[in-house]
Amino acid sequence: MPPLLVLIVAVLATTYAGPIVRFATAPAVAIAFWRLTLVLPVTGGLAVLEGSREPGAGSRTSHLTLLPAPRSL
Amino acid sequence: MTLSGLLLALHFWSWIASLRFTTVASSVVLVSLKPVFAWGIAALWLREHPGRAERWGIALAVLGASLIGLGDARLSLGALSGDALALCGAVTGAGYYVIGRRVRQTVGIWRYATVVYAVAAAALALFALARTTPLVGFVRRDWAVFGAMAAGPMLVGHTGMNYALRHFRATTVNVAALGEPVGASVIAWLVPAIHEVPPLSAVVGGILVLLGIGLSVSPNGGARKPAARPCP
Repeated sequence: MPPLLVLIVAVLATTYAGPIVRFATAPAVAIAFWRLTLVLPVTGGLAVLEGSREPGAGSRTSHLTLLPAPRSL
Repeated sequence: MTLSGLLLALHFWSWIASLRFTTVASSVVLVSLKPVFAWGIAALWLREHPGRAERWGIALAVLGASLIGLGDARLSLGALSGDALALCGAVTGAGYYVIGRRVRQTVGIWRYATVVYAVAAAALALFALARTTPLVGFVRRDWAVFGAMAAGPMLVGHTGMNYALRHFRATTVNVAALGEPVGASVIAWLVPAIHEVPPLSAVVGGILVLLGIGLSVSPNGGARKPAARPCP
């Protein structure tokens, strides 16, 4: 997906945070805590998939691919 | 990434807490300065400077967001401490995005989001524990709000902006984030249960914010700029 489109969708997705939070009676810290905690199973699962799709994932050479190229040293 | 998570936790807490001590206007205006702080931090740390078009975009968007906030002005006590909290929210939010700009050059979006959100959640849990604030035992409507906040503003919103940090400068993403109060005002106007008619200043402010965002994300602004100092 083009990054600009992702950015637009992301901003649109945040717009209803203010209005919807007015319907909650929970303390602010609890709202912030649960909005972060509830996404962790999703992001965590996708992070595992992301890791397994990286070139050389699971092999001994995977660490070598993370080394900087000589030109960047 | 740990520092980014801590800054995110501090950003969430300080901004929400600021609303209890200062006016909504002051809080919104001060938090709207995020792109300015991001500009300063990114210039010092990443040597990234916004172009001419983006500088105009930042000025217009910050002015517009300030107008939206001023339209909601009301008196409150303890304003000074509230202003300090709001300022803290702006600085920590800017720092969170600048770190994301740097780290996201080498770390995948899902790994980055998971670590940062987990650190932020753990920090907030410790804070709640210290202040004996309950984290469970809420009514069904609260849980519905938690779920909605997690699915939209967090999973799509924050994660989408973190994704964009690989392609856009932190200042650009921060300017784009100023679109939030514009959309929130429209939703608050359209939803019958809220139905807040925005004042003229908010309408003018919204137009300025959208113009500023347009300038910032244009090809002459901050679009498609690789990091000035890529990670090794």
